[in-house]
Amino acid sequence: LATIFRKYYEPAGKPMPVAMVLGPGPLSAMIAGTVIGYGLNEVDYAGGLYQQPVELVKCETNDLLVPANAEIVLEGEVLPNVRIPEGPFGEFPGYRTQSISVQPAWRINAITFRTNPIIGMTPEGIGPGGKVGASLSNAINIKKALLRRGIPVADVSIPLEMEGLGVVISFKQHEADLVDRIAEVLCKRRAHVPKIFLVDDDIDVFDMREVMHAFIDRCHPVRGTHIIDGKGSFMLVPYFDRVDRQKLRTDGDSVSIIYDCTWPVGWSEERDIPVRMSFKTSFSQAMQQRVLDKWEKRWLK
Amino acid sequence: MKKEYVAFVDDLEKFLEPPEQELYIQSLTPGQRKYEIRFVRAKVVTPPEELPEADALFIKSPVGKLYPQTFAIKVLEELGEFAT
Repeated sequence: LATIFRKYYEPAGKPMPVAMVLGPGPLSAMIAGTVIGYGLNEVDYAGGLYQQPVELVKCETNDLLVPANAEIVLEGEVLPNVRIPEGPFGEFPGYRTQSISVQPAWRINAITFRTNPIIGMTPEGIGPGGKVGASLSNAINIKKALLRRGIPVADVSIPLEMEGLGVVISFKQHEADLVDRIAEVLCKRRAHVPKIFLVDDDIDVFDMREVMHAFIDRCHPVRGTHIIDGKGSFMLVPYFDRVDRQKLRTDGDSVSIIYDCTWPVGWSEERDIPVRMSFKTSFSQAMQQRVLDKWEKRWLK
Repeated sequence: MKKEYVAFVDDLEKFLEPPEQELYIQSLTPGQRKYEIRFVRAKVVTPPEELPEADALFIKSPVGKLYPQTFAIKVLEELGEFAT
């Protein structure tokens, strides 16, 4: 929306018609916070999740379409060459990191609403909140980008515990230049997920206990840690200081870190890679079942 | 009745050095146009007793933490709309 405004409307001195929907329905709200790519229609994706088309109606004061079952609709226009201060806001990484900033403004021309409207909301900050859709779609986009470049990805996850700033990637096979290839795709040009955890595919990337286990037990503090200078990040990253933010603003400079929690390529399966010890890996299936059966009969009564 | 405003200030000590300041202030006074934001040249003092007729000003840090001091503000000039 900002690109359309800055590229087309503002240079022509024209106000840009907009509508803000409060309470569009839970799946539409999730899709609204999801990155689906330029030229694609979010409402089609919302319809896919609902398994039926989202019914749309025209606004009262402009030609934009909004969900017919919306609770509240604000109609208006973004004004060219007008900026007003806003914020500071808490944001998706879980902190309020910046002061007020001067941003484009819009004028509300009409408000329509359902009788006794209901607004569902989650407070922004640490925890799932509004980042569920974005984390899911970013993980899918990262997986697609890596697969397109022939990188043998098994699974990708942006766990909600990582607040959108960390990604876990598992691999089907070891390759010597894996870190360099990952850095090229995810850090050098657009480091929007600045902490990257690489794991073998015996680690379930959707299970944070497994991920922490791999990080602590398999990532060498020196050989497994790779600091990558790159471009692009979020101003909202809580650990940035003023100098970091200035560098990001002026040159786009940023930094990422890759934690390589995979067993090294040169390690032999027979001699070097440690054997994982756990209930599931140290005993036969039959033994496990006997223990589980007894457990339920004797101790869980 | 005195009005109340809030402002966000990066470095409070430097901000208070000159005799007058340029700043954004946001109205906290209840009314039809709540939270109206103005860009003004003003005199800001602490403690507020130094400007007994002036309005009240709360100052917050860049990340929104309220400074414990109390301030008074006397608006000297409106610096206009926020047009670029």
